[in-house]
Amino acid sequence: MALPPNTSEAEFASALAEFAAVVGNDWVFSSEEDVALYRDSYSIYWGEPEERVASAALAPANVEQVQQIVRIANKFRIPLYPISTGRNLTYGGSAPTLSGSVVVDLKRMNRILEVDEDRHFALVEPGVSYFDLYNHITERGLKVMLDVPDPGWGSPIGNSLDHGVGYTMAPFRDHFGSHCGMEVVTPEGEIIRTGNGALPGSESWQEYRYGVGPSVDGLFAQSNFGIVTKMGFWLMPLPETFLTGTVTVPRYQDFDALIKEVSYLEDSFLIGMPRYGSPVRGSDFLGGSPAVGRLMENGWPSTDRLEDFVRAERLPAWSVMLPFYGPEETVRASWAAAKRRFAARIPGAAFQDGELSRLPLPRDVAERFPLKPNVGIPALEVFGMVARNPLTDSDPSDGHADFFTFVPRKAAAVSEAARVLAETYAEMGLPPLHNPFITPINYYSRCFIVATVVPTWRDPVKNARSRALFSRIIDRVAERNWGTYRTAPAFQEQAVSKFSFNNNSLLRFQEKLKDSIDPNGIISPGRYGIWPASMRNRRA
Amino acid sequence: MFAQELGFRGVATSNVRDNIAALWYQALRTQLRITRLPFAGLTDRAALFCFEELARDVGMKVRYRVDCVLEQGGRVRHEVTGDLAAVEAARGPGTDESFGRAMAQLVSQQDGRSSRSVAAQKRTGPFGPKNGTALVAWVIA
Repeated sequence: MALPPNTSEAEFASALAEFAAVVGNDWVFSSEEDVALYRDSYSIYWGEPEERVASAALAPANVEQVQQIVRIANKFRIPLYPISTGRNLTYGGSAPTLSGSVVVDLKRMNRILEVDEDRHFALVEPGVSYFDLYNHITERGLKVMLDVPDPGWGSPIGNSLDHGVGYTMAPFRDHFGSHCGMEVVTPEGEIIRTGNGALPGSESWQEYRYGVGPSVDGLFAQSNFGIVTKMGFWLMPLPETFLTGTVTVPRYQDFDALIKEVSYLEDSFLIGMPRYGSPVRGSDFLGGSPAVGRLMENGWPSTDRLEDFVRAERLPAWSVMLPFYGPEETVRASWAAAKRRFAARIPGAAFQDGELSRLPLPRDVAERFPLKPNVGIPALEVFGMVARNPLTDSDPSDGHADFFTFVPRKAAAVSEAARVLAETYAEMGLPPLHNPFITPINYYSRCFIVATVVPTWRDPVKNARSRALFSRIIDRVAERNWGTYRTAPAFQEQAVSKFSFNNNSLLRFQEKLKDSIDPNGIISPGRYGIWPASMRNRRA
Repeated sequence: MFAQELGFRGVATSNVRDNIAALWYQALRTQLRITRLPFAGLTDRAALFCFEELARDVGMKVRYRVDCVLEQGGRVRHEVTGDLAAVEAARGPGTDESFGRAMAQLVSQQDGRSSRSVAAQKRTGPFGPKNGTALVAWVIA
């Protein structure tokens, strides 16, 4: 069993006894079989000494118990690692950043405190999952729509604090951006409420985010400055209808104009998250069709060669699916306006009308709806798709570590990112995965993500290769002045180190806060590179 | 065969091929929070992966699993992992449809609650089909 750093077995036993006095014996987990539940199923260090593992786990029932846990942790200098549902796989899951930490599993704090269908917000505790909130809303017929990640088994609080994202309109799919008001237990065990929550008796905690004075909410995301025990979220009023339309453009070089038009629609709040595709790529997977593979055999093709390839394949170079939300009159008008704009600016643009769906969907329709996350329905099908898809390679991995790099919303930037990733794979002696038809993801509306997926295994030799690749990718994209928006604990320090303006002044500022707010370093030490002074020598 | 055999033995069954989430969030989790009875399945590995992660909500673990591994030439091998009693009991099931019946008999006899083995926990993540692995029988308790 792992022990907390600088803690003897006797001290740890004393601490566990004090924790048990607070939460009850049934909610202290310290046996090997119980602690094993908190291993990260996708760990890139699985079974190696560097794998991040917990020493124990606790499941408090309420905020008062969280306060007492924090005070005991301070007394024994034992690091805590709070999780809400602990299912942010590829980003660490339920395992702590620092081995030997005690996981504070907030699963029992699972109350949906309020959903207001007239003022369009929810107030929840950390153990509430998207499924729970969705079922609460649909069972009561409330006229609001969730924005959910895919898969949807995480919690709104955990996902937003990790800067997670969804699929609907821009203001809602940025999950941290759509939060309004938090309750936090500080590392000293005090409760604070942010924004209007600090105003005793305020009825607008979930309506006005800033209160008065500095806004501190951002300090509690991707960080270690407190344990969030309640959080409010703005919800989208349930749209009357959902409509999709797909645009295709014929030439490789049409991508730039396509992006500009889509960005106009997105920034005008006329569409939800656009989904770019490339019919000529021939596959939703990164590598593309065999024809694309042959195209790439002689290195990165010139633009002329790409245009020749597209013509020869007799398929559109690019596509984008546009989702519209609202009354039928407005979604049909918005789609008509979009078609007019594309047709005027991109010769050869073609259009395919999608079906109009009235919301809420009847239960039987909802269960088989192909675009569940686009209409706020949480799902787990993504796991089945991975397991059953015949296009996955012949040596499927045990998990994966996703690398998402942010680039400007420009065709040239997407192409350059794809090329940097392709070169990095080649440099590491790996088969090409990226090609000029890679399409961006538009989770955050104002910039693009270009993604790659690095496999993780139960095999340490393969994991070593994956780690080398992942680390090299971080370095290579940083050479181009790009970063990532979240990553697994194994790479958080390296990713943060690239945000190095003025001799890493941002991280140094965060460390000053850490030393002041959490002098014993008990909350999630090392998370996103923020170590307390006493552990700063652990930095790689 | 698996579900049919369990049905004969009075065990409640559910087809989860298309909707694990509905079964878990709308039925199973609520029941298990009240009484932590073992639950078992014959599913693909992705479904087991999801159930295993979800079962942490109620403190339950995979106690044993019998993976069907398709080898070259289409031969099926069974890989048994978990506490020793179950491993012994699971040796030698048939490779045809009798496998489902054998697994049903096994899971109804070995509930796994007394096990302290971690061997079957988090053995793997979701796999694609080309690695040659098909179904897996399992007990979470």
